[in-house]
Amino acid sequence: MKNFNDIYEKIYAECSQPLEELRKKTRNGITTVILISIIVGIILTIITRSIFMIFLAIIISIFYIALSKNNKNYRTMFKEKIIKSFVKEYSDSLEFYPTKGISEMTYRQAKFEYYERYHSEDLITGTLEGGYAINMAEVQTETEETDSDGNRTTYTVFHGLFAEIGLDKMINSDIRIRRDGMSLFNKKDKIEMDSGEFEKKFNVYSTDKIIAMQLLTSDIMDMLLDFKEKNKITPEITIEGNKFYIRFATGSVFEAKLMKKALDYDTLKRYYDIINFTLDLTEKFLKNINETEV
Amino acid sequence: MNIVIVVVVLLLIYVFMTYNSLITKRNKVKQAASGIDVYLTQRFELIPNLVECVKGYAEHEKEIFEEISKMREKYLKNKNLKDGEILNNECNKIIAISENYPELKANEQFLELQKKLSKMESQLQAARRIYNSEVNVYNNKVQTFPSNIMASLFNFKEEEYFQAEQEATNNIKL
Repeated sequence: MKNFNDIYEKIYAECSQPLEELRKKTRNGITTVILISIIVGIILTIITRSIFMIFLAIIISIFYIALSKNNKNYRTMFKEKIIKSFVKEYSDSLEFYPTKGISEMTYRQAKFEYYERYHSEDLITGTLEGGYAINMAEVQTETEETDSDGNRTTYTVFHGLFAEIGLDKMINSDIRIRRDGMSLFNKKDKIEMDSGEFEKKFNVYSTDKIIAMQLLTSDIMDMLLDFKEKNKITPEITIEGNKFYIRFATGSVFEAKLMKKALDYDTLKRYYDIINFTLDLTEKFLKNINETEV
Repeated sequence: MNIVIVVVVLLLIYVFMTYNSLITKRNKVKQAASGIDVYLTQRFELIPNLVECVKGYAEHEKEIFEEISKMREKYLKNKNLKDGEILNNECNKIIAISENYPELKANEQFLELQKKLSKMESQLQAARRIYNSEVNVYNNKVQTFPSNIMASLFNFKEEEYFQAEQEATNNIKL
């Protein structure tokens, strides 16, 4: 695995410039259309004395952004050039497929939450050191609620990165680490951990306290707390059978942003930290699993 | 008058609830302690085999083996966690002895026993952590207001944690 700055510099040298030019061209085009629409909208509003014209200007701008060929090209190019290179540079054994995702069945196996709609894309797949298979992708789950008047509203339940890693050992129990306040499980299975700080921020559920304690050692708890502190994201984990699942409520990932540089250091560093953390954490869990022979 | 009755009833409900909560938490501490005892007993069941295995290679360490066998018998007659932890430390000494005998380290039976002991040590450590977290929950209840009033009224005493030094000694790499 390479150092982040090396990866960044390599991608910067190889594909940053043409993409940055396309981004600027796209951004300028969109800004111009929005400005013209607003000016025309204001003039027409004054002439016709109808506020509707302003809304018309906004609708035209939205349509332009959505249908802009440059914008679509830039988004596709960003994934194909930047993210694909980033994943490849991170590890030769990983591949990025922007149009593929993780199957809903896999996500369901992690037993995170109830939802009605599922969508996944931006799949990173491959093998870790030691031959463990990994699949990581952006996942969005939604649910619908109907109010007393019969109006249906869609809510996002989860939007972020989700990963599944195959273990070479079966765990004869299940362990679920959730952010504090997300108590969907039987309270009987809740485990009081021996770290006050960890208890405040995470809830641990397991049918076997001993195995949970064997795997959740103090260094793993510190790692989870440290990640939460630095990134303001609470990782949630499920270990069941021979699978390790982890997710991060990051919101949308691997998407091009017109108002940010094509190769934005902070954004790419964030992806690097999340992938790094997932792999480091998995490695630590695997070490504990092998050492404790659960 | 009615207000007084309501206040008394509410007070009684609070007393019952706090008392029951203290009992539940104390029982959890006892349960966690018995968890440690289970793993210690399982570990000590391996002592005769371990002594037999090591004896052949380290004849002049006889005194340690005899002492451990005596401690084991004493522990099995009168089980208590402190004696169990001392015996567990002694048990780890046998493994440490093996470092001086390369032939013993290559013995298959010894390796198998070492593997089992290692697994049990890990389970034991987990059981100790469970015990400490249960003691923490119970002690918080005994010490914090207003449940501390009920605790002192019904003679609920604080429980002792496993000391860090004690655990450090036990964390000998097997």
